Amino acid sequence: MKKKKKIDSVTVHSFSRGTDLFFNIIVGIFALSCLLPLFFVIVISLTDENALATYGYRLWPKVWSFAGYKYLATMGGELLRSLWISVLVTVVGTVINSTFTSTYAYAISRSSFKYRRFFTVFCLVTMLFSPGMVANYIVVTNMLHLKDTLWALILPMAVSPFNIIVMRTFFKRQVSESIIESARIDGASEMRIFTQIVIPLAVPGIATISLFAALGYWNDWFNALLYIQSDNLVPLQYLLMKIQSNIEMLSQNASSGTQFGGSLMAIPKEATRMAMVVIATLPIACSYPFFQKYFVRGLTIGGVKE
Amino acid sequence: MVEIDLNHIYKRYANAEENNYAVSDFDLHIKDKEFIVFVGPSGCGKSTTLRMIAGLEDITKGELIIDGKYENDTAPKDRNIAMVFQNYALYPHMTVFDNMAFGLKLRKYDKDKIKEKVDYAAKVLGLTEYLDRKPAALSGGQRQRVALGRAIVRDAPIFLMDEPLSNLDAKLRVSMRAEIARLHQELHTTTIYVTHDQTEAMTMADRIVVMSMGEVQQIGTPKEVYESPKNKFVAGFIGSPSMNFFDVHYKDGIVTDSEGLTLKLPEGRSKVLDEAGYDDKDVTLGIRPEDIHAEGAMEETFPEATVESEVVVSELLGATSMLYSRVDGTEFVAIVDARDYHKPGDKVRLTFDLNKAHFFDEKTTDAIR
Repeated sequence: MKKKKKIDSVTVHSFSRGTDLFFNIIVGIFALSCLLPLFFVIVISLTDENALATYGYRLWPKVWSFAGYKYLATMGGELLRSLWISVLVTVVGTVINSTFTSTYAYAISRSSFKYRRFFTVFCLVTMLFSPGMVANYIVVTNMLHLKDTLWALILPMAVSPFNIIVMRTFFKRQVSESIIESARIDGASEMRIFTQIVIPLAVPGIATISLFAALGYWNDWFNALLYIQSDNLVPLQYLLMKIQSNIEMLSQNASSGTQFGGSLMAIPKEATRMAMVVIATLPIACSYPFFQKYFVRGLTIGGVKE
Repeated sequence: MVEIDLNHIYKRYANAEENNYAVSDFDLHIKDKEFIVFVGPSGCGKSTTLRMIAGLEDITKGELIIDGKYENDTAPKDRNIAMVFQNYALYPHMTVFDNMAFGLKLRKYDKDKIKEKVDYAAKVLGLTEYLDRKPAALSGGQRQRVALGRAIVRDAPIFLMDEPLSNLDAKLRVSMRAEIARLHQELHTTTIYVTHDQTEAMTMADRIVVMSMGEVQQIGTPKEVYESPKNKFVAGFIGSPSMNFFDVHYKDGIVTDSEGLTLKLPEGRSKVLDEAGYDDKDVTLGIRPEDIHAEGAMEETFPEATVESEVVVSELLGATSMLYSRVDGTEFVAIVDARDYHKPGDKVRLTFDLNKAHFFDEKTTDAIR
């Protein structure tokens, strides 16, 4: 007699082998489409400039070279200083941004806050209508007198309305009103409720907005262009942008046959450009795994009956 | 010694219209160590009233006096109350121990004292082996016990419980009900318990407050509200299955309904209606399913209150069976002995024990006594 096949819950919820393979291929293609450009950029940054000119872009170059990185290394101290400024601005800015964002969002997420509607609309208005560059510039330079200070790189992005809305929704969905009321009855003050109950429950949300904020600060060069004149306060992205502009300028001058033609020949243009992308991307890419461990769902499971 | 006075309490939410009160004129004196149950359908204002006592909702009008002190504006943490929520409201990132100890830590108890109290509560509730677990690793019943434990460790003289058992399955609900009753007997706390389950109300309460549409319908012991309901709402809400109601016309000791049901009232009952001036008037007759009988002995006693009915639906419940029956167009339910079980379509003679019948004014729905 044929033995009856035992079916457990895992079997019931699993795909057939063919379907499994199909979805694995789809996901694999998606993963490759994300990784391949990054890999390509790294390879080009390590390709000899002449080989690039002769053979074009290749996944495995004919001639390897560190010329691009060597050229950037000639700026040594300047590059390191900018890297430090970028790290500083990103870390301080992210802490300030996530603090402001989460406190604002928490307040407007609570139904007991009388003015929650006003402050929600106030936040949304700034998302929909931007005052523009001129108004920002006047506020930062003439009113706050932040020109040529690190705060000029931090404060303009210290509050993000989009992140506020993200966190407001997160608080509303993940932090049950009854948990807060329970803490209130247990004798906790509002500050203690926020720091000891709400924040630990909102770690995935805070990790998300912190990542958004960190990316924003790390990639920002425009504020530096507007407000920074001192070479000591130039962040990495702005420095790389300046290097890129200089290469462009030398390239234009070379084609017009000026005295810079010779020096341009020594610069590995494409490799340097890609090396800049690698330097700009790698640190923030390396920080992803640290954030990733907080992107765990279901932290509030068990607290309340859903 | 803690007594609570709710003096003409009103609650109107901020966005509600001028006279649209969620709770109106709630007036109650709760004695020390009393177990009070607020019962009523969803949206009747029972939880709102409890939350006003807890300080989680503002009181629009009226006075809340706890232990002789005016507490309308006192913060929840200063009211010396403990509360158990319907959805447990545990801190999911803390262990069972930390959940129970949180309130004590905030009140600056020393570590040994906290451990002693938490260990005691865990022992009482059978949670000792789960103290290191987080709520997610507990079953529903265990989580609700943690919520109870959090209240117990506080040594608060007042316990507020907002439908604490409604998320549990039927079997667990019965055992937790007994556990809460036992805790109340051991701890002697003044307890206010909110539920929409009238079985919980009947089995646990010293006194029941029946509410509907934000208003108190009746306050009394379980026996009082069951046997002498003040109005049609209370009569229908308390008791399961609920009381049968018939719109009848009363004249000369006989009630008849438009569908042809005719019953002669015992002398005592008709005297009450006559004296209240209801002769030749429409009234609502209410009779509980357990007061309708299928035994022959009852028919002999009340021959003029016996009807020939047809069983529409029958449910055998073990010791008893429920017969959903019909006399002409009038439908009603009777709980009879399991031996008197009948199949749908069977003809059965049912006798109404009209000595236990209730009468209500058709317009005001108040009981006629």
